[in-house]
Formats: sequence, C-alpha cells, structure tokens
Amino acid sequence: MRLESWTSLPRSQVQDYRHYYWTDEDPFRNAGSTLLARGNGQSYGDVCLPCQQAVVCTPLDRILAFDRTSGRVRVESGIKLSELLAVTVPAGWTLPVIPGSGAVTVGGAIANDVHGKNHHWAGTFGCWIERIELVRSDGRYLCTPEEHPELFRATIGGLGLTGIITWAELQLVRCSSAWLTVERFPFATLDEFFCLSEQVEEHGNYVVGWCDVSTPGKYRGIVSVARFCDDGDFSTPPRHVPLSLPPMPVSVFTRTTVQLTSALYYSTMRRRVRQRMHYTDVFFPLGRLPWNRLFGRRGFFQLHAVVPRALEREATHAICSRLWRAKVPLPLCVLKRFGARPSPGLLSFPIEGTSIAVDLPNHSRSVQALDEIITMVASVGGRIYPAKDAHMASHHFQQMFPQWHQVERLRDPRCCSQFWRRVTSS
Amino acid sequence: MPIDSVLIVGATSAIAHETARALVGRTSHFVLAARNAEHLAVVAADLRNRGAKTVHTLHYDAESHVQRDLLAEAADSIGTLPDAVLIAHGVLPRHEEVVHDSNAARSVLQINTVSVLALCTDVSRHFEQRGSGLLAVISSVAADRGRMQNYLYSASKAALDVYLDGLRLRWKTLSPALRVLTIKPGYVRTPMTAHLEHMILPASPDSVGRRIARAMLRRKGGRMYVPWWWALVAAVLRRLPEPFMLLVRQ
Ligand SMILES: Cc1cc2nc3c(=O)[nH]c(=O)nc-3n(C[C@H](O)[C@H](O)[C@H](O)COP(=O)(O)OP(=O)(O)OC[C@H]3O[C@@H](n4cnc5c(N)ncnc54)[C@H](O)[C@@H]3O)c2cc1C
Ligand SMILES: NC(=O)c1ccc[n+]([C@@H]2O[C@H](COP(=O)([O-])OP(=O)(O)OC[C@H]3O[C@@H](n4cnc5c(N)ncnc54)[C@H](OP(=O)(O)O)[C@@H]3O)[C@@H](O)[C@H]2O)c1
Repeated sequence: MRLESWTSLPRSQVQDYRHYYWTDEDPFRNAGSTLLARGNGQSYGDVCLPCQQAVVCTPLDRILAFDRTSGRVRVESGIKLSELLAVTVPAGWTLPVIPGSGAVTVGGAIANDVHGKNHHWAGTFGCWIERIELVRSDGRYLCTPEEHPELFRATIGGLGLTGIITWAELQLVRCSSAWLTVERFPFATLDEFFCLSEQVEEHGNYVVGWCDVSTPGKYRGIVSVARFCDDGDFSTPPRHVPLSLPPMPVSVFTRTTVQLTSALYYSTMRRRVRQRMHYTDVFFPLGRLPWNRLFGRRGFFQLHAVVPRALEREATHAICSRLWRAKVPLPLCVLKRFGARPSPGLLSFPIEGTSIAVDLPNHSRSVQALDEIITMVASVGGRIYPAKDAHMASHHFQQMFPQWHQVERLRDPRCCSQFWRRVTSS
Repeated sequence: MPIDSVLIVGATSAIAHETARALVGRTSHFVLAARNAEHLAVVAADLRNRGAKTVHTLHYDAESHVQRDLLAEAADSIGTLPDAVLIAHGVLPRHEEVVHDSNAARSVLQINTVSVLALCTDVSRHFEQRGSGLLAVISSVAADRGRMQNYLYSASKAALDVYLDGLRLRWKTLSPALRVLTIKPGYVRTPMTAHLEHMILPASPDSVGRRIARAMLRRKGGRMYVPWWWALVAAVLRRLPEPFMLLVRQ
C-alpha cells in the first residue's frame, strides 16, 4: 500500500510509513530522521505528505473518557469524526465543528484547525480543544491554554509540525436529535447570496452556499440552512453502501456535463424547500461518492480561499469570473461566510470574511487561473487554506501567515512535511 | 440464544478489540483478560464509553506456567458463566529468530498452543456442564500448510485447528447449544504484522472484527476464513505439490 493525498496531487506516493498503535510507544525511536503524523489522508495537498517517514495514527482510535453529563470527551487522535459522532450523537452530544468529511481524524482536525458550516457561531475545531498530549522527539507534553500555552497554540493548526498528538480532550455541544431540518433558499446573483447568508447566520444554524460558476455573469446558487431538530429522534436511516469506483482513467467532468448537471441540481434543489435529513447526509454530502476518483488519474486541485469582510463581495466576484475565464469544468463551488470568533491556533486559516472552495481539474489553464487568483487573494489580505493547497508560492504563504516564524521556532526538528519544505524555502 | 456475556482472552489484540466493539450493543457484559495492564485499561475504557454495560478485567500472561481457570474467574466477576469465550492472544515470531533456538520456539508454542489448549480444556468442562456455550478461537490461514518462512507459527496454530475439530465433533453429539468456531484470518494489518514487508491483500482489523462478531452472534460453528476468499487460497495451498511450494516465498 502506498499513501497519497486525497487529490493525488502533488504526485507523490509515500512508501515509508509505520502505524502508531499504542500511545505509550515512542514513534521517534528507531525511526527515520524526520517524521510526519498522518491522519486519514483527507487533505487535498502536501500537508499530509512527509519529507521522509509517515506515522499513521489511525489505529489510535480509542475513546478514553466520555462524560455523558458534561459532554467532555477524551479521545485518541486517530479516531474518525464519523465514528466519534456515532457514539456521542445517540447520547445527545455532537461535535461543535464538523468539516465536510467524516473520515477526517481528530488529530487531522486539530492540525488543520478545520471549520464547518457553523463557523459564524462555533469558530474552528481548535476553539473547543481543552487539552492535548503531544509527543515530541524530546519527550511528552501536556498542552492546555495554561500549560505550555505557546506549544498549544502552535499545535492547533500546526500541520503536524510541532509533534505527534496522541490524544485530545474536547467539549461537545448538545443536540436533541440525530436529524436536522434543512431549508433551501435560491439566489440569482452573488449579491443575493451575501444578503441571504447574513440573514440566516443565527446561533445553532449550519449555513452553506452552493454556487453554479459554470454559467458566466449570474452565479446563481442555493443557500442551505440546517438546524438540529428538537424531537429526540436518534434513529439512523438505512445504511447506504458507499459507492466504490476504480480510479477513472480520465476525468468524467466536461464543461457541458457540468453545465447540465449544475442546472439540473439547481432546479431540483430550489424546489426542495424544506427537508428533514440525517446528520450524516447533512454534514458529509460527498460521503457516498468517491468524488476524488471522478477527476481521473491526473487528479485535481482545490482552490480554497478566504477574503476579508470589507472586500468580500468584490473579491468573490473577481474570483468567480477569473475561474469562469479559465474555461475548465468546475463541478463544485462552495461559498461560506466566516464569523469573527478567533481561534487559539497560530496558523489557523479562517479570518472574518467569505470563503470560497472550488475544485479544478489538473490542467494548465487551471494552474494559470490559480496563480492569478492566489496573487489577488494575497493582495486583498485574504488567505489560502494549507489543507487544500498544492500550489501556492512560498512568498504568498509567508505573506498570508506571518506567524509561520513562531511555528517554525516551535517545530520539532524531527518533524517535517513536503508542504512546509515548499512554503518555507525561499 | 443471544450472547449477553463474553470472556475475551488476549483482549488487547487489535482483532479482539474490534470484535468486542462490534459486539457492544448486543452483548452487555465483557470480561477482558490480557497481559499489558495499561493497554487493557484503555481497551476496557473504550468499550465502556462505546456503551458496554459492564467491563471487567483480569490480568493474564500466557507464558506463566500457573494454570488459571479464567472462565471460573470471569464467572466470579460477573456472577454468571459467560455465554461465549473468544481466545485471541498469540505471537508471530520472526522466523529466523526461532528457527534454531529451542527456547524461543518453546515460548511461541507456550503462548500460541499450550496456553490456548489448556484454556480450551477448562472451557469445555464448564460449557459441557452447563450444556451450552460458544467457544471461538483465533487460529490462522497459516495453519493450513507449512511454508518455508514460518512453519513454527503454522504448526503452533495447526494444533488448535485439529483440537477444535475434534471438540466440535464431540459437542455435536452432546448438545446443539454447544458451538466451536475456528477463526482463520488471512493477513490483517495489526501490531503483529507490523514487521512484515509484504502482505497479500491485508484486511483491516475492524472488518475482520465485525465479521467475527457477526459469526459469534449467529452462533456459527465450524472453520471460518476471514475474508472468505482465503478459503479458496487455502484450498489450493493445501493441495499444492512440494515443488511448487518451493516457489511460495511469502
Ligand atoms: C470531502 C472533504 C471535505 C472537506 N471539508 C472540509 C471542511 O468543510 N472544512 C475544513 O476545514 N476542511 C475540510 N476538509 C479538509 C480536511 O478536514 C482536512 O484536510 C483534515 O485535516 C484532514 O484530516 P486527516 O485526519 O485526514 O489528516 P491528514 O490529511 O492525514 O493530515 C492533515 C494534517 O494533520 C496532521 N496530523 C494528522 N494527525 C495528526 C496527529 N495525530 N498529530 C499531529 N498532527 C497530525 C498531518 O501531519 C497533516 O499536517 C475536507 C476534506 C475532504 C476530503
Ligand atoms: N494479524 C494477522 O495477520 C493475523 C493473521 C492470522 C491470525 N492472527 C491471529 O490473530 C490473533 C490476534 O492478533 P492480532 O493480529 O490482533 O495482533 P496483536 O494486536 O499484536 O495481538 C496479539 C495479542 O497477543 C497478546 N499476547 C502475546 N503474548 C502474550 C502472552 N504471553 N500473554 C498474554 N497475551 C499475549 C498480545 O498482548 P501484549 O500487548 O501484552 O503483547 C496482544 O494483545 C493472534 O492469535 C494471531 O495469531 C493474526
């Protein structure tokens, strides 16, 4: 077995890896000269690719403590979020922050300080972390906001560079059902998207916009607003068998098929105004589809940028029109407004503003568009998400994340990733 | 008859832990026996946090020569004789380290064979007295044919297969509520196989664990290969003439 990133880009297959089975083992003993912790490889780029050896943390998947009255849970770092939710939701507790894939591990969620559709009230995953145990080449550290506070802040969003997280303690939030009501509001222009989202960003809501960027000028789409029901129904829907596909030789997406399917999706969804859905279907919509395989052997890029509040409308518009001019199929574009809640993490990606995530096939025209958009995002004070990046230049990274110096200072000398090597060399 | 209580020996094994997880919800009472006390406490906590009603732990070292009646100890801790027993502990030695070292070989046989068959003997006495019970033991596909690279391990597991075949026949004559399940996994990605360079289509411990739990809950008896297609591979391997076996290097 070889390990790679979720998008197969950059083209690099990891052959040198070991599994981390018990937290009392020292992964640095008898190991390669540099290591990198690895979760479930759900990152789109090279943050999950080691310079030398990967330490796969997925066997560390035990729930060490779960207080059903306070909602405090201590788990090993390799447990998948979907697996944790399957235990906590029936007990009336959900994760405060849930990214778009349930296959993400707790360690990966901390190291990329992931966000969900509720950033406007919940902030990032790191906002809910109370304690972390970190194994470094010189020993074990218990990190909290009070103990080793610098290391704590550097580890949240720390891209696995500060050491290997063995377990973490976090606070869950109450939920009174496993089901959510989803309401959908169509929008015909980006301006409408901004007005609509602003109105629905209440505490407890999960808000996300899907945007059709395949037709120029308009950028219509759907804002969906989900909220946990109050009905105490913790039943699970019949299990869908996830579709499995061999890697497609070429991408199934062409500009025409994407235009057609987007139009179809738009017209179906705008009529499905209100729906009751299980949490797994709301949070992990791509869960049943081997999305990453549909792009063929060449793989794909994701552009995931955030632009600051003051310039969000103009910048989002500019990004969409540059994307359209690339003349490549753009099967998925997701818009989401981030709130103001700060994360303790030094390298945390979200800032108050709007985030846009777009998948682009691996093509020279995509690369050109990416280059221009990244430059533009940097110039307006925005950021590119390291978890989704395989492309940005080191000077852009350093401009967007000036705190990288602090993380570099606290980096374990025996931890390194291909991403870090790329963005810190200059 | 459901499996409400189970004794798992070698409970810190990756496969055993996954099996136990898959039993949670259907099985309420767990008695876990293992050697490493810290790991055992972690496994017990995990099962409790996932919803197991009661989890008791026993310290057990298969290399100790003091014979222990673990099933009786388990009955003491939960107040009733468990409905089922799963024996999972074992070692996979580096063959070059045991091939000429009789002390090392003896220790492998003690852990994989002697301790297991001694446990089975106690279990069979208790279960026959009660007239019901499921005994599940993890053997291996390796038991089906000695190969150049690991015949000591194969031999240590083959003894289990033969013993359990015989016990199964005996139990068939006694009561339909007595069942023997011989579990024969192929390669599984666990700490035991971490040192192996090449594995043929390794399975994940959770898929294997789920499969074992399902079989136990259905009170299946017989030899069970996991994943199932190892039965075909093993059938070929058993019949392969020796000149061809020389080519099998894995
Ligand atoms: C379909 C899909 C949807 C997604 N949606 C979102 C979303 O909505 N929001 C969002 O924020 N992200 C999203 N992501 C990205 C994903 O959440 C992140 O890439 C996440 O970090 C992946 O976690 P992982 O466990 O797979 O870790 P990996 O990808 O294996 O590793 C990610 C990083 O975490 C580090 N790491 C992993 N485990 C440890 C550990 N034990 N100790 C220290 N460091 C560790 C690694 O070194 C690496 O730097 C999505 C990804 C997919 C595939
Ligand atoms: N993995 C495979 O490919 C594979 C294939 C076929 C069959 N099997 C069988 O499956 C079973 C489970 O193995 P696994 O794959 O889950 O590997 P594992 O996680 O390494 O489990 C092996 C277990 O055996 C225990 N053990 C070893 N020596 C012991 C002793 N002296 N006393 C008590 N316990 C002892 C270990 O406990 P400690 O933690 O204390 O060492 C450990 O819990 C084994 O019987 C193995 O032979 C495995």
